[in-house]
Amino acid sequence: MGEVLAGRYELVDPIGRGGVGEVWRVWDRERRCYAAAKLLKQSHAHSLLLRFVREQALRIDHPHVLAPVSWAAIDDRVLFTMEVVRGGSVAHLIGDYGPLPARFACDLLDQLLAALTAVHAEGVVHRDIKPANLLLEATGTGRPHLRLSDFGCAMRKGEPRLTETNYVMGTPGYFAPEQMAGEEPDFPADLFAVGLVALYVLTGRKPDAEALVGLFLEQGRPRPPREVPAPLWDVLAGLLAPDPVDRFRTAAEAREALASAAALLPVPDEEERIEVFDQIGPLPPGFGPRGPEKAPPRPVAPPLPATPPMPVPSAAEPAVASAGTPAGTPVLKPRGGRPAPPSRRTVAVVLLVALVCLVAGACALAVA
Amino acid sequence: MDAAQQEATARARELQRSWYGEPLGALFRRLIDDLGLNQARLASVLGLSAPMLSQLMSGQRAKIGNPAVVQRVQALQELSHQVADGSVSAAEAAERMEEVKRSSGGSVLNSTQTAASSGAPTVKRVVREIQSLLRSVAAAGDIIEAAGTLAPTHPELAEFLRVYGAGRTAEAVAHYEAHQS
Repeated sequence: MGEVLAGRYELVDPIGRGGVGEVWRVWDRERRCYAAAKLLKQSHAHSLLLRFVREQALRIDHPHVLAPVSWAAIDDRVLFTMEVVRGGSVAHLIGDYGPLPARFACDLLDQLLAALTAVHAEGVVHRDIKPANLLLEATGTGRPHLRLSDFGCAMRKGEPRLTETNYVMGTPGYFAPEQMAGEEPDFPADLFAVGLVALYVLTGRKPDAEALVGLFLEQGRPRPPREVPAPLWDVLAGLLAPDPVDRFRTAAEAREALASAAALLPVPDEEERIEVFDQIGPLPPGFGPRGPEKAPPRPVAPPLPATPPMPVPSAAEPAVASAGTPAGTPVLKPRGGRPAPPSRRTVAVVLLVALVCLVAGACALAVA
Repeated sequence: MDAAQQEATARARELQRSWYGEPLGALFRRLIDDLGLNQARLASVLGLSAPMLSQLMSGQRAKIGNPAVVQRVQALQELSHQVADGSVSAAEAAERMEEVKRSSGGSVLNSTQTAASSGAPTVKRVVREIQSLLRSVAAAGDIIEAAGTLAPTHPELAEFLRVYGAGRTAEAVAHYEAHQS
């Protein structure tokens, strides 16, 4: 039996590594299904906890959006789960195939813009659109199916910023110029990133955002790269304009323009067959489609609730778990068959969130 | 495997022989042996996914689609020759493989700039800042003159003034990179 986290998630095998932690395939004992669990490195947990809490708070139900389904915080580590998406990311696809055929690329971009339309409709700016965050279902040689993931940097427009104001969130290389300048997060910044992704998938090379902005400022609209068909360049230019007011106003508008442009693309005689492979591989020995094959030797610990998971802080039992855990043992292991009490970090988060609510309430009262 | 599949595989291997000199199964296995890798590590250095590497090796797929990967294959072949003839040690080879892994096919819309490192644009920006600062203080002619005066006693400072005050940007970038570490 694999290690069990939070009395609920049995580790199966590692399936990826992100910027902020590992991703494991887990067996969710409560929901009785496999899930992908993002596990935060301990050293990152403190500064990033808020991001994860925020990521959890976001639930957007859309075929092209991959949002977390449950989460747990134990001591100073955090885990949250989502569906297992098996086809790797758009970054893998470029690695395997280089530049993608224009029609295939249009399909992906259309799905990305559909996802963003739904996300923006919730008032949320994603802020980290990049190929590695665009996951794919393992559709083989069929039509691709993109899922926009990783809302760790996302925030609601107009929401008070919880991170230090001078800290620009997102991934270097995919910033819109106004994002670099530290302006309030807004939807057009996501559209700029879609433009960069579009260039990436059509040329097979990572675009240089800074150089691009320079070229647009110098030349108005530069000539398209060799691989980008003219009708598509019109759409890309509407996404990549350095000044946000020159871009498409909404993802839906960009999507419409893309559809018209895609209709003008010539039907190719023969193009490379793009296959989105299953990147995850079979279950390791000891695990079957219905979960772990051997019965666990110990009684199952009571699982943490799926939602809302926020433990109520109690002054009577502060941070027992971290103090009582011997050095070297994994702190995520449930001990004594009862859920781990809230740690200092969890308490801190709860207090902080409460404080934010209080301030927001006070502001609302003041306005009223 | 049925007859049609076998035929397709044989055809793919034939194509691979004409494009890459030999079937990729043999080529990749030799790289794995010579450089002390396994399939997963080779896939990661080449920037291919594991299933793609396996399809190419088994002849289920003929062509390496990504030109950047073809370049990395060539770089690894070169490296494995150097390891074989002893001109590169195992430790150096490991370092060189990291470089190969990071190498990419140049940046979009900017074909004149062949620098593969993603840090290049930032370096260029910093260099331009220094250049414009210097040139706002004095004209290029004055800077060259000042460099001439300094040269006998402070050759490095003279070089600095000349390169950033009156040299080409490429030269300044090279100077910057050489002194960065």
